Amino acid sequence: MDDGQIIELYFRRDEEAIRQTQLAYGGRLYNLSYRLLLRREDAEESVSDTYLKAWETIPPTRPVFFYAYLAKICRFLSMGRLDWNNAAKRKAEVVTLSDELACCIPDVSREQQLQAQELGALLNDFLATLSDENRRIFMRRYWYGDSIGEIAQRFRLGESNVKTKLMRTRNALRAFLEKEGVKP
Amino acid sequence: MNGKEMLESMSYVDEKYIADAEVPPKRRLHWQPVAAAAACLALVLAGVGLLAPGRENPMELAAAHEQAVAQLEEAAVSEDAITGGGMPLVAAVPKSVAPPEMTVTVLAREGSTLRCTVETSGDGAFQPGQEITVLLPQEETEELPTHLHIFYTPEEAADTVTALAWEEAQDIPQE
Repeated sequence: MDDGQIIELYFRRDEEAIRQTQLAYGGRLYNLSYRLLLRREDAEESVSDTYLKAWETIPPTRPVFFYAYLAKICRFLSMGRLDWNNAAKRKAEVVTLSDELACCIPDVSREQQLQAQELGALLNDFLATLSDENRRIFMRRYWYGDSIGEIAQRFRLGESNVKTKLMRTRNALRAFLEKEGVKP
Repeated sequence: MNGKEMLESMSYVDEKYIADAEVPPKRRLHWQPVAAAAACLALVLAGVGLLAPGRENPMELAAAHEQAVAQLEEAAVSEDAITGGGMPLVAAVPKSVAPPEMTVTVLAREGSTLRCTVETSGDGAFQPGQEITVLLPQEETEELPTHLHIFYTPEEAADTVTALAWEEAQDIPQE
């Protein structure tokens, strides 16, 4: 069943929609969540909550990119469930990712704190300035949480090449945020 | 603001970027090696022809040589030949290595990602009317016609293909 047919089931309020969603994307959503949480139970709950949220929001929403829509909900819920202290103890990849992104923040002591949603909007503008490949690599690392090795394999690049590209993109993000007024 | 908040704010990134990063990177078809292989094949065939009995006459050898050169020139088309006025490369290589093809109608375009409905599927892999995602080479920026005839390679997702080459489709059946 393709995405359009599954979405039609949601619009008809047919509970088969959830089963079909699970069949089509359950595994990928679980992997996305588990990568962040590193706890099977938490990842399963995040995925279940994702189905529920999709059921509540479709309709009226008609997603253009159905998997991206689900994944966005799933990541949001997973981040909300994340225990950062526990993640730090287990040296989870998510801690490394946050440390890397901290380097992109021009001024951590800035008085006016940006809301996550505002920052998300700025990130969208920034992503639009990147080349397709650099944007995809950045997204794989900081949205999907892929390791450097996985990205290198996916894009058929050397790991050092991936690291260099990510470092340049982070530097560009820092410069972009400064230009947008996120600075002293 | 800290790195954690920055990572959390990534949750608000536009879905089109999330979808774009999800699809497997396009394996760009390098036409030059294919053309070179076709040229080698033509050379081998020409060589076999030259060694055949009854070709010892110098005039015949010269004619055969000219024919082999002509075959090489035909086969070694550039990568734009498939969309330009030259001979399509798929005609220069055996049919068994030609990519599958189909005709689609473009519904929406997001950069290099097209949402399309299938009009006709050359190998029957897709049903007419089925909605699919067609990925273009990443640097593609030109305007596209609504009806496209594409040569493609399938991707991991069942409803996603990568277009290797395309041209404006002719004879789309009208509803």
